[in-house]
Amino acid sequence: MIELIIPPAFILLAGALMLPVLPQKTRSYAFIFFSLASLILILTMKDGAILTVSTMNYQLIILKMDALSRVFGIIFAFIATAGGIYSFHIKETGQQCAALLYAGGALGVTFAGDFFTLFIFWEIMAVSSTYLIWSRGTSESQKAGLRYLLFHVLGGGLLFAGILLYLSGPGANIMVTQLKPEMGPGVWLMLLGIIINAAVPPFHAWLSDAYPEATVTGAVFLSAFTTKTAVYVLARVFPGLEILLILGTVMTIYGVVYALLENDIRRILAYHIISQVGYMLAGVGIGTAMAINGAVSHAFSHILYKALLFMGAGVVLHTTGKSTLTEIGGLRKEQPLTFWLYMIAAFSISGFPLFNGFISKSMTVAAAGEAHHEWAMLLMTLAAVGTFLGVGLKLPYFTWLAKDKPADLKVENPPINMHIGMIIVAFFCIFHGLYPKHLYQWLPFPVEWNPFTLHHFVETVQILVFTFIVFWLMRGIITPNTKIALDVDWFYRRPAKFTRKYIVDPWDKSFDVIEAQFYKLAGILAEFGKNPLLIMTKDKKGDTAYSPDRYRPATQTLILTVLGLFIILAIIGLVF
Amino acid sequence: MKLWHWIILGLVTVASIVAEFAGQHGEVSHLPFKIPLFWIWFGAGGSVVLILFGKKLFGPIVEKKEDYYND
Repeated sequence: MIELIIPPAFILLAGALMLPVLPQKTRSYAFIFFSLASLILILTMKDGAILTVSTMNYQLIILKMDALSRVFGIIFAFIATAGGIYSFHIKETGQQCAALLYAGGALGVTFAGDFFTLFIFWEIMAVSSTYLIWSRGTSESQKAGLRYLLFHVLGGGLLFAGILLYLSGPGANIMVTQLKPEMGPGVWLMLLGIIINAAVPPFHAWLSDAYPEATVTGAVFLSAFTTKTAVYVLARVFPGLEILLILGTVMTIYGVVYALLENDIRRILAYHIISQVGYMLAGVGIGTAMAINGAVSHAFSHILYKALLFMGAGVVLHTTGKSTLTEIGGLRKEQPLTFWLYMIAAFSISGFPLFNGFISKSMTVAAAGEAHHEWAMLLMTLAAVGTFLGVGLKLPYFTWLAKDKPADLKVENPPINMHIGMIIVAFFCIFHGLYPKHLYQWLPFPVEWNPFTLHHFVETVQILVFTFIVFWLMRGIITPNTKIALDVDWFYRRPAKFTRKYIVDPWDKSFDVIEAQFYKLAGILAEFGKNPLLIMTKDKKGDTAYSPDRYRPATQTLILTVLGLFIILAIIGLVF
Repeated sequence: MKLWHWIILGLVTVASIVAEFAGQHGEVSHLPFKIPLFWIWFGAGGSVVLILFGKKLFGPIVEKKEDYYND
């Protein structure tokens, strides 16, 4: 039997190219069709499938299927499909194409077998995701999108420089394979480029800055792809690198602390992406089979519940036009379905028993304990407390439950497709919580972890109950305010104001002055070029009393000049 | 919060404590987790620490008015 090997990314890229030429009414259907086709392809493709292309003396591997790439491919394609349903009402073709390109880029990175292919898809992701931020069309989204793009240009540049430097070393080849920092500065540059995409502090501010400014549906895609492809590449290239354990553990706490301070619901969720990616990095850094399984399964669960959280927040923004906790409240009566679907995601990210966070996060935390990193285990559990406080309690309480709905807040009904997309994702959050084997079957290593132990239930229930009690008693302190929390983006956003005032603006002004003078000079020269004699005919006031007859060169002058020339030539001839 | 909410929370807590003491000996290998009711202390203490650190210590340092970057 002949097996057809098509890179799943190509289906989405082809879809992005075809979408603009399809009738508008069919584009949303086509989006789902292409996403679903890539998902089916990934599910049915055999392990070991490979597709190579020869170019410029290199053998590029544009498709390499194994267990690790398959599990990431499945969840990327699935969330693209669910996101397509959620955004079914979107009629803006640019946004649809960008989302497909973005998902295609993520699949391209996932199945890339060589660093060049990986880099190309990496950059496709950067550009297409930026469009999802700019598409919102606000002044803030334009600025945040530009900062986002600049960060990713920097990250991509570092990655590519690292690849080139690494390849210039002895024995290096372009295959995506496990690397160690001792292999040279090129590998360090690659690592730096990748952890920028993973939003590792202090290179994380692009995420909390830009994601809340994206379109309602764009944020759902953004929450799924960029950081998780970085996690995939780290798991593929740098498993067991201990610094990732340290960075990841710091991330888990960093994100939850900032989320407690934030007022914008999508910024709260953005900070929790940083926190949750921290668990994955920690798992990759530990590097044991159980830890890698934990990181991968948590990435899978995280993409589901985080997309669902952003979908819920997106419904609030879509229906009210507001996204800050101080402007909304008491929405449960208007939005009971949205509230409960959001809560499924909130229970999942908080690690409630029988939800998918319970069966994935615990594997990474347990792997830390098993590898004798008790400090990491405790800090990650503390971050879980903060996660429940921020996403499970603060956000839903002040959005849907606390206080009455502001009188001037109008709430529209969301399109039904938004809820359908949420229900599909919510189903898998619960399904994997009840039947984790469905997820565990795809993990890269055999799973020996059983999440349903008495110890695990007791630990989780006690933490959750007492976190809730403390929240209830201290909810006055945690009440959101209208302030913003400065993050490390202060280091480039604040100086930018002074750089503009004292360097860019004076430079612009001096350029304007010089430009004006050059235009003036060009005008004078042009005037002079028309008739050089004019310059002698202007009076002191600059008025030109020009008369073609008066200033036309006299015929006798010309004859005299020619005659004089002949005389000179005759003398020269006689003498020499 | 209504009374029956607190009653449910109390019952769940009691059930978890009973389960902790009744059925998990030998399952826990790390020292801090052998402390009785460790996770209750951890959940409550962790929440207090995060809220106070975030809102009372860290917040006043980093929180600025909404239009900070635009003024």
